[in-house]
Amino acid sequence: MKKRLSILLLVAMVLSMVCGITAYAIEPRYVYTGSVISSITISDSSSTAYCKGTAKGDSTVTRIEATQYLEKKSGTTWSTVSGCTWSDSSNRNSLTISNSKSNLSSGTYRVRTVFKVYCGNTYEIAEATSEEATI
Amino acid sequence: MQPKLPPAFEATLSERIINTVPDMPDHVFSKRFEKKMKQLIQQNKTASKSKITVKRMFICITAAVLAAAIMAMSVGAVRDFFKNFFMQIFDTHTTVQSNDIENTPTSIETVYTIIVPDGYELVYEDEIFEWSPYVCHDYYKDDIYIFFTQYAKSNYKINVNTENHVLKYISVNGYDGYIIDLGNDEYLISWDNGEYVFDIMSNIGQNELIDLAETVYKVE
Repeated sequence: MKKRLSILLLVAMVLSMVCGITAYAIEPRYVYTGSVISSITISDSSSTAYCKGTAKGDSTVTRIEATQYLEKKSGTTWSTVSGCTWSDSSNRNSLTISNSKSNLSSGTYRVRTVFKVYCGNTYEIAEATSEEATI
Repeated sequence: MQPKLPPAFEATLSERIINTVPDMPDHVFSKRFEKKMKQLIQQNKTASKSKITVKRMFICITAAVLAAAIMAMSVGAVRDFFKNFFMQIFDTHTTVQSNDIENTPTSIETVYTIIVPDGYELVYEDEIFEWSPYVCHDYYKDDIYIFFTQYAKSNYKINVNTENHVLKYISVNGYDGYIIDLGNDEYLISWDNGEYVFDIMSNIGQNELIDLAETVYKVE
């Protein structure tokens, strides 16, 4: 009985793993988002990172909100640079967000922009991450 | 020795041995013994059964884990080349990058534009800086929109909507590109002229959009 129970539990665990992977793959969705991009340009002379992101939605899109993060690599993980989270929004089906941060310490950086693309009251999330850039 | 002698001798010997055994009543095992024996037999049967089940279960679980791993890999990046573009295909979108960035500007040094039909208003235009990785121009005329963007090839890493939409090859002025039908007569077209990558997204109509893309020219 105990063995049967443990086998059942194991099967349930495997199934939940499979379901978990599937759920992760579904998000985020692109239903009315046409394209998203995020880019970083570094100026070595001033140790400045220029961050830019753009989302374009189809004609059903009523609003776009963006949150942009400048991230620094530490080992294998990325963490947001202090004071480098920016937000912007637009009531059109297109939005470009631009920011910069100077006097950065040496390291590898990237820009991640998360867009909330609205179609009326519903929205979808589209995310874009830039290439890595080193100071 | 006679051939029939050994079996005859064997038969009489068995009979003689049996006859020497005194009459005794059949042995009756105790109830406790019988119960214990039944339990042992049952346990042995269950053990052999569950051995097979565990083995089968192990195979099933291994197969399930393998299937999960394959699924995880399939929803991840599937890399593919598409003419001048390098693509990573995901379930919801495709990440497109330029395939050849050598000796190309890393920012917008030369500006290109398109000939927008009459009646459209330029609602948004990016200011151009020496670091600009791309430049956007958004035009509107009532419900019709035209989004034209010029990208430095090294900064062209864009996620385009391919969830239930097909990315097809297209040639614009002889340059390789792709077009995505986003539905409702809305399209995204992108091409690489060797120096920069361009894209136009619009609900103006497919043929009109291709015609519009072919009007691209360098601003002197």
